[in-house]
Amino acid sequence: MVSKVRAGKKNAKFGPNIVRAWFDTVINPLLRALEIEKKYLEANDWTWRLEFGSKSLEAVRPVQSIIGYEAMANLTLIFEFYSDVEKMTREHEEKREELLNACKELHQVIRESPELQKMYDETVSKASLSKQGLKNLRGIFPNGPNERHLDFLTEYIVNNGGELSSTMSLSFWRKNREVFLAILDNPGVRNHSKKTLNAGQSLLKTVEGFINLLEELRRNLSLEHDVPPYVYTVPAFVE
Amino acid sequence: MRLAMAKGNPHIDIIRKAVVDTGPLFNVLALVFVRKPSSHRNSGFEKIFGAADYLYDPVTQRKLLDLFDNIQKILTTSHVIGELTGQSKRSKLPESEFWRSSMDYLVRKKVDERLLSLIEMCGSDEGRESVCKIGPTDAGLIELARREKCVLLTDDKRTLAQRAWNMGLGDKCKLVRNLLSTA
Repeated sequence: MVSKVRAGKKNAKFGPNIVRAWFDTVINPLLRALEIEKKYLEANDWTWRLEFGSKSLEAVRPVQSIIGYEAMANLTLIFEFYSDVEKMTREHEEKREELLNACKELHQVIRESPELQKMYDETVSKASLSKQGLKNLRGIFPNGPNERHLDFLTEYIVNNGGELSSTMSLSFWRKNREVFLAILDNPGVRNHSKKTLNAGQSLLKTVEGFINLLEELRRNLSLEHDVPPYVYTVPAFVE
Repeated sequence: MRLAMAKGNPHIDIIRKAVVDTGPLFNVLALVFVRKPSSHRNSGFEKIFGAADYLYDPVTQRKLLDLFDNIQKILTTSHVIGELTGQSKRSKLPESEFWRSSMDYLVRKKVDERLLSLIEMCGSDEGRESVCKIGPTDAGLIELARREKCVLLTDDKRTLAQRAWNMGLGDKCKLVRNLLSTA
């Protein structure tokens, strides 16, 4: 098989110590995080969070946030030898940013739509809650004012009914999922929803490509330098 | 408040009172520590969380912290507190900083540490058998959960949870992994 990983600097050399550091601080942590990203992106769950004013994609993080500031030096060293990795890293960051911006816009559009308030009022009305066998909103929304409830509900809709950010009662969300998600099809929201979906799917493709590239690089480096991809250390807790 | 929850089912409960095993308690303390800006960690989680690989996922990490935030009364035993030292050593986290952070958390959450002596545990045939089968730490946790009539949280399915289920704790003994999973 012809390697897709193209080597850069032909004359410079690196040995098993550097390869070990690349595996432990860059390649393995990145692969682990990318697999998690992939899992959420495949489910169209962007893990969009709006909390205390900070806007983020909880499981789709910038590379520096995944591997940490210190390990960025090791990644930069990889870039010197493997330009494909640099290209893919940049692509990941750009597409992540596009998805983040799309989520921000979608959140704002949904949050400002009168339908959301109406939907919330109907779903949490006494009659509706009692129909679902619930007495109040405890355990359904995080503690806090109604404004926070609406943001939490909007997060859920932006994430296409994916994982809730908190450990809340799931039965309420599952029962009302279709009602909540219908808002994505409203005329004022549809285009933003589509844009977000496209951004998410485009990022997913990049993530899949990035995983393949890193797995191949790891395999090649491992065989070439006789460095195992992973060295077993006794876990802190074994069941 | 308790919603439908069968043994091993992944429906989320809002748990108000729980006895906590070493694994989940250490994981929470380690998460609180590694999420602090001053001691932020991005890698090496396999040493920290060990077999609890579900905690590599940042969404699940947050859900675990949230689960514990919602527990109003956390109970544990002195045996568990003793075991935390071993876990922190194996995790390679800087010990004094880790303990400083952990003590702040344990004090803030008013964690209720109980001492269950071996003699107390061996007061019944069932208790004696538990100590012989699963050791004094796990036997003490089951005994405490029974006395307090509350949930027992663990990640140890093979030994502790199995014994607890066999002793009739049923869905009172919950695996943290399952609680955080929505599959």
